[in-house]
Amino acid sequence: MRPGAQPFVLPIVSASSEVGLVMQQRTADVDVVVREFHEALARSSDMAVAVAAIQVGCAGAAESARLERGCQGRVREFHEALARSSDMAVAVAAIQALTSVIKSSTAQTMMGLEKELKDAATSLQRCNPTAISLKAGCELFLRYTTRTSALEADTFSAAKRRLIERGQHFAETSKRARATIAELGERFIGKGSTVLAHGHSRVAIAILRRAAMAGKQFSVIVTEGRPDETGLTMARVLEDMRVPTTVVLDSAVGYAMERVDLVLVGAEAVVENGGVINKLGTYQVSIAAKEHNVPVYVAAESYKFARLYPFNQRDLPLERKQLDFGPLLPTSVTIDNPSRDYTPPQYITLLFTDLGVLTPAAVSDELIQLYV
Amino acid sequence: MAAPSAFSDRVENFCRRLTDRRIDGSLAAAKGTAELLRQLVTSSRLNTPEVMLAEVKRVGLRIQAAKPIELVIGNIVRRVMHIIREEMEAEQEEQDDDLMARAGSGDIAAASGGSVGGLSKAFRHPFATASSRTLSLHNLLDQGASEEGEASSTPPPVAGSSGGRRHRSPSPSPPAQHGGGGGGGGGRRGSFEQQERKVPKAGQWDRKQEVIDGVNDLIQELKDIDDAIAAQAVEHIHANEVVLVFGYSRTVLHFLRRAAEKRNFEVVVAEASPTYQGQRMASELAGVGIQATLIPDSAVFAMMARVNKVVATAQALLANGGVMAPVGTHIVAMAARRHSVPFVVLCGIYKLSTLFPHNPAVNFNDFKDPADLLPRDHEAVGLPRRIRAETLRRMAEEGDEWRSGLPPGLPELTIANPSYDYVPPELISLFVTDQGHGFMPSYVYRQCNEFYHRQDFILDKRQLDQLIG
Repeated sequence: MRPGAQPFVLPIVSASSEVGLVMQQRTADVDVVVREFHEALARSSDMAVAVAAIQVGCAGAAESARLERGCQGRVREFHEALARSSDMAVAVAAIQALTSVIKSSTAQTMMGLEKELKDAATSLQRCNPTAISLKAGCELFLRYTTRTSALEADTFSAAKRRLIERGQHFAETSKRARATIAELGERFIGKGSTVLAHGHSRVAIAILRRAAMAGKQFSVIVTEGRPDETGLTMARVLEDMRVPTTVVLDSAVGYAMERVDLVLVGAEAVVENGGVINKLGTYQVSIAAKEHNVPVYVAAESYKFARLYPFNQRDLPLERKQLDFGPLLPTSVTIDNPSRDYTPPQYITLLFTDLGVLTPAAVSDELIQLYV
Repeated sequence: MAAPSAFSDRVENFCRRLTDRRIDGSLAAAKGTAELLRQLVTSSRLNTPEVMLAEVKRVGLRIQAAKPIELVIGNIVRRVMHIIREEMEAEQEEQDDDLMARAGSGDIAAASGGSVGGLSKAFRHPFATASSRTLSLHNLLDQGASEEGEASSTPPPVAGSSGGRRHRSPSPSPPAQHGGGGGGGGGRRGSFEQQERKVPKAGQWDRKQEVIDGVNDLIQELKDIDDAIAAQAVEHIHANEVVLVFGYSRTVLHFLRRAAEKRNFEVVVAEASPTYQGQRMASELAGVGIQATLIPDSAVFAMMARVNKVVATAQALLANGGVMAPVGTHIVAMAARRHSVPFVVLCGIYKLSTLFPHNPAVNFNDFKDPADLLPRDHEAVGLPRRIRAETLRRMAEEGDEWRSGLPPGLPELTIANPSYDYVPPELISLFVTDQGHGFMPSYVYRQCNEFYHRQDFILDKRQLDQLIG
């Protein structure tokens, strides 16, 4: 290891050789911004970085043939594991990282600063090219800097200071956004209702927690959430809140829907027409919900609004994950395992955001605000 | 500060009449509230916009508390607050323009005016209009910092130039309220924080008269409501159409009467039990020469195949595009959807509420007298004679310790007589309002943003939580 190499990387090296290998290679040229990004996530994570690495290391058999192909995937999984365990949203961590870029920037003009930021955003996105919320967060911050750069301050240093200030405050936004959303969404959970939750969303958990703390009696059905077992994570969290929880298979959603009063999911991104991109299975759940006249509520912070307009599932920047069905499946059979799907707006009843409760039609109005 | 006793008496009187249900209908409630608020706004005590907003809100919440499900009260309060806020923003813009003009003409020293002088008005404009929306994507990053910026005391960058007075934050509402609403507009105003701002004269706020005019316009709007809606009747009712209406509605009656002046059409009226007001509607329609057919509610589905259009009324228009309508309207809407018949809802824009139906069947609903369905002396109502005697005996024996428990296993007849129905947005084709153009349910959010300020959407959280239970 080079002297002065970030201590951050050490736990990874010790924990998992494969990931450590990759990180070591990248240590030499790892961008400051990427490191900051990781640290921001790790700092607010309740899972040790080492554990994250181990999870990744155990995620698949270490065949040398797959090592090459899987290396990028491994790093990505590492990010996912870290992102999932972190209390801070990925977009917020990205903005923190970009703020530190501004701080350490040597540019003397706004144009130079913007270029540095753009390069930093690109390298961040290279970590995980399919993380839409990461992209949305970076874009929001970049847009913000281009808008304010021409205004306000008389000197470049004052403008820079202002941007740093704002970027730093944005971390607070995440916590505040969740609190706002929790308050808005809690009113929709009626007494004695049964909530169906899909996927592990910290915002949805915030809503449920607030309802539980307000003393509301309600029960939750969670889907198992293969292959990353989000349902089990959710069940653990709900158990802590002492909310009666039932776990069902993903395929049992249609079966269970007749006793469900509302569906609550998070979102990785909210697209222009008010649809959402969320964990695989959300589309299915919402179709079943519509058939049973069950409202589908999506909880998403406003910085997840993305300038995407998918028409069908193929239009998504899809990420395919490895899925190992064991030796019984012939190797000539293709496996298709995307991690996300797109739910069109007609299946969504309302979105709970920190900008207020919105109907899907209102989302594009909000997006236009940003790019007016 | 104690309100003048005459005014607070009037408010209390109005509240009492609301609670006793002596105020008939939402239009009367809206007019009463608007007139009280007009009197409040003209009061000479309220000489700054902030005080005015606070007082309007306080009085408004008091009136709303008297009858929480009368949503128009909250709507009128929000409209008045919107008028005040608009005037505040217009004033701020004017002052900014003044500052810019002065900076342009070189009155202010270059150092302090640098940030102002370099701007072109066209570039600033998107922010000017956008800042009227308190919280939005574009000022998301401004929220945290601007709140602190306004809270802490930032000295002007150039000391002593033009005696720079500190900018006073326009709205004292706590930033935590409703998602950081207080930080709105801080992004733009931040640059002018250190600039001089015209402190309102000790006497009156300049724009008070405009606010009073605005409230007067609102009251006039309420007076003309039926005419304004009926003005569009000819566009929506075509020749030889069969229109179905449900029950009695003054608005719908007016609408159809106006259409009948130019068009020849037929009306099918469902009688709307248990009030049977539809009978009154049918006879009044026939009275003005419109061919009317009266049917029982149970025949609505069967008749729907022969109907071209349904015209309905609404008690409240909710923020998701759904409506609270007289009970039975939901069934009519479903029948209409099943037969692909357009379902048009007439309502004044004053009925537009910013609240969502958290629990549609129950929220914002009112339950009326069960005697409408079965009279009190009906033998099925109340306890059977045998049990009644027994219970009376126990009551007499146990006296104070009597626990009102009916003997177990006794079947009990309950009567539910709700006033309203929730009609979901997907069953509604069009809203026709007094604003002069129709819109679809998916457009309701835009109307909300146009007539109300986002930070007023929820006036009082506690009251809301009590209302939705």
